[in-house]
Amino acid sequence: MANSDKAALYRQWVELLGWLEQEAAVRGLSTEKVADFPDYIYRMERPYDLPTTVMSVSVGRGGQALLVAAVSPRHVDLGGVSLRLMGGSKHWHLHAGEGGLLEGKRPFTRERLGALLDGALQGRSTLAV
Amino acid sequence: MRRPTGGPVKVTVDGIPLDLPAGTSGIDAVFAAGRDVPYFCAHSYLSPVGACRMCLVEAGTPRKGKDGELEKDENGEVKIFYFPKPMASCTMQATEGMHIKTAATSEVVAKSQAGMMEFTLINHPLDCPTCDKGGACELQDRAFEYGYGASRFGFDRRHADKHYPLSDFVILDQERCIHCKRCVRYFEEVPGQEVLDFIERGGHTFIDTQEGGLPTGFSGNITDICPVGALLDNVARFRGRNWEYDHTPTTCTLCPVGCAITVDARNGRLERIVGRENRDVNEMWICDAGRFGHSFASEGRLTRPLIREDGKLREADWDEAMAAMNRGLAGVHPSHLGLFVAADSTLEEGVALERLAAQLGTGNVDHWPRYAAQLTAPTATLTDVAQADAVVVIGADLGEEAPVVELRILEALRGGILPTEFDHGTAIADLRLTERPARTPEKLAVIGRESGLWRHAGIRAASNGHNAVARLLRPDTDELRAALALLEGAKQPVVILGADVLGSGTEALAAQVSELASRTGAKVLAIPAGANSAGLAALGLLPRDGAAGYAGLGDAPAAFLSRLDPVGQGLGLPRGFTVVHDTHLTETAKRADVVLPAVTNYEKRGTTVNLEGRFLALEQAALEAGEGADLIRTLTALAGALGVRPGVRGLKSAQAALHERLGVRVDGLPERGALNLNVTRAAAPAGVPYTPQLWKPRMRPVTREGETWVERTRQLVEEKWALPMYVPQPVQPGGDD
Repeated sequence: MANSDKAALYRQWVELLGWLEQEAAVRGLSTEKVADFPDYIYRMERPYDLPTTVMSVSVGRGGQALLVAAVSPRHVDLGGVSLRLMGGSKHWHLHAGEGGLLEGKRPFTRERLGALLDGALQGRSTLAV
Repeated sequence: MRRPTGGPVKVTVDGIPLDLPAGTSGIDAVFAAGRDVPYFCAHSYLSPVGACRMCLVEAGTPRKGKDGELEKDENGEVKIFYFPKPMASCTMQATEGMHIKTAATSEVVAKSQAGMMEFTLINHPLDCPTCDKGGACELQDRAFEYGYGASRFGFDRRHADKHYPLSDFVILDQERCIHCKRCVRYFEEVPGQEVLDFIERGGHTFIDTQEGGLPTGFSGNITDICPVGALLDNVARFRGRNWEYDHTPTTCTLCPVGCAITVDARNGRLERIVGRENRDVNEMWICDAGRFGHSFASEGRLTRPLIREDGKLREADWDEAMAAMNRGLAGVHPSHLGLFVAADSTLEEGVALERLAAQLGTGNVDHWPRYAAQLTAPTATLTDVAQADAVVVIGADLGEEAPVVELRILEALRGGILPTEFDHGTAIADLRLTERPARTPEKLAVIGRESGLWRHAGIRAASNGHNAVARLLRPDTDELRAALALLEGAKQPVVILGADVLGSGTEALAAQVSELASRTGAKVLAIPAGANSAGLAALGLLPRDGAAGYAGLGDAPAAFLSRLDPVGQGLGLPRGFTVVHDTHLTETAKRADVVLPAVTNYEKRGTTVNLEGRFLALEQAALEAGEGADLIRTLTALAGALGVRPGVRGLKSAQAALHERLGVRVDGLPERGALNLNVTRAAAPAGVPYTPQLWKPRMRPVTREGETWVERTRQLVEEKWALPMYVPQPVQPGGDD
């Protein structure tokens, strides 16, 4: 992946983080930072140019994560954003596109994220508790 | 040493010939030869499953030809036919004539192990510097010993949820988990609770629970057995590094089982307790109260003596406290002084008290809690319980009285297999232990109230306890008849008696228990009320010459109380001068005339006697105790205030006195303790009822008023975890140092 794509990836990741926070709040879910980039924490004197330090976040309810979103650290080959529905065996791989994140060839929009969260909640509510 | 029967097999490891008991696993053969194999998923007391594939070795056996003779090579030597692929030595049985090559002699094995190490590290998060396990991590150590030392993996690692509390006590990091399944197997096999499991498959697999959290009871053991930092002790989280702790191997005295523990202290604070192996007592498991209920040892301790002046307690030094005791006790005849101690006091402290009481001529000596009954039936050991073919539990809530006994009963229900012992220790992989073991609940009868053990029992009989033994002897219900038949039909039956039976203290109880034991051949395990009740009863620290004892405390003209809180219990205070020796300012201490600071049992050298009569050593952990003193030194001060020269003034003289008194040497006890069933235990009416409670109120991990550890961690995360990236600081001229 070219460097320009990397810059776009992290820009779009930050945008996704914003969506996640807002869409989660709308649904009464909590958003928590799960981890920072190891190459931010352990970078020491080396320069750091990413727009965020957040590598992964979770959207959850009652302390249990429903969805974990993560981006690959900057030194990683074939990097991208991954979304996973915890316990649902559903995994989405997103890549940087010119106009925003792409899920394969399909643009990953805020509406799509909303649909995933709704699906996660629906799946959760059908579980026998 | 307990070895399985069956003829020895000859095995050669790296050219070293060995004779091993039949059934030995390959991994134990390697360790028996003094060689080493890395492993993550094997654990001595769990079933071997071959999940991590780290213990790969090359193995081969001779083969018989058509003539029935072992095949020879061209030199006439027995030819070894090696298996085509490296074998997981933890699930491979060492057979007659087998040859095993480890990484030390086989390039293939060294490469396989390094390759497996690389696989295991591929998805491991880069948390070592912030991981609490760092320094005591099996993954780190094996990577250092067997790994390539470099990574070729350039792709993204697995992302999952981190620092997720499974309960108030256990915190889970799903990214660090290497899927060895030790914790899942532990819960299924040991406490018999299916509360943890893998979710999803492949690289997405993670550990979680559907039960909304872990049940409190034995959950903490998974923090010991997790080979990585995925499951951690939340009470000890972010307190120190493993190498920074002072490790003190000692004995837990929260209940009469006396589990082996290691107390980890740092800067005078007790930060962590971990389980330690004692095959005869707790194997490797301890209960959650023993592991997590230690915060009282470092919170709100009394560090200096207090004396009452103008109606108020004020801090003083020991000289002033002695002077105050001297004044306060001046009008009291020494023989009227009541001396009462907690039943978890050590034997050494007990003998010091006994000597002083004799010197003062007072018979009003007592320990609490204790029961009145004096049983003469043969005592069952914990190993007897684990290997019994019938267990009848009467009137006991083991979860409150002696939790580890429950684990030993469950061990009996899954066949009573105790892992073999080798020179290198307990077998790392005992092939007789199987995953999801078959259980035989019909071997267990529970008579009494509903408890944690209830759902594991094949025979359940509701009973209120005080006449349960009498009813079992003359059964009037189908359940009781079945329980009696179970005992009568068994070869090695064990009867376990708890508080509901022993506390009712009927005169006839001892006779009934003896009758039951002689009729059925059962051994009896009576769970004492206090951690060292058995030892203190052996010393006869009971009211004599018609004295009322602890029950008659209110009438004592003067009393000395060590780590007892009668006011908190609703018993009231002695009517005369009261000296309280305690670790905390209890309700009784607040109303005492002189308060002397005590030390907890984590800070004592001494001996305790557990429920089976095993003498176990306590060692002193490096905790900050201020001017706190143990009972021996405190009694010396009391004697000084009374103008008496005490017979026992230190640990050495206490041990000498114990040898004289009980005929048992307690200095230099072996690591597993010494079983002594010949010591007679005296008895006397107890008077004060006792309801066993494992978690005493002050054992709950609380840092501030009403705040649990989970809340505290959440506060750290939500309020203070802002990193500099989020809040840009103005640059300071001249740097920020």
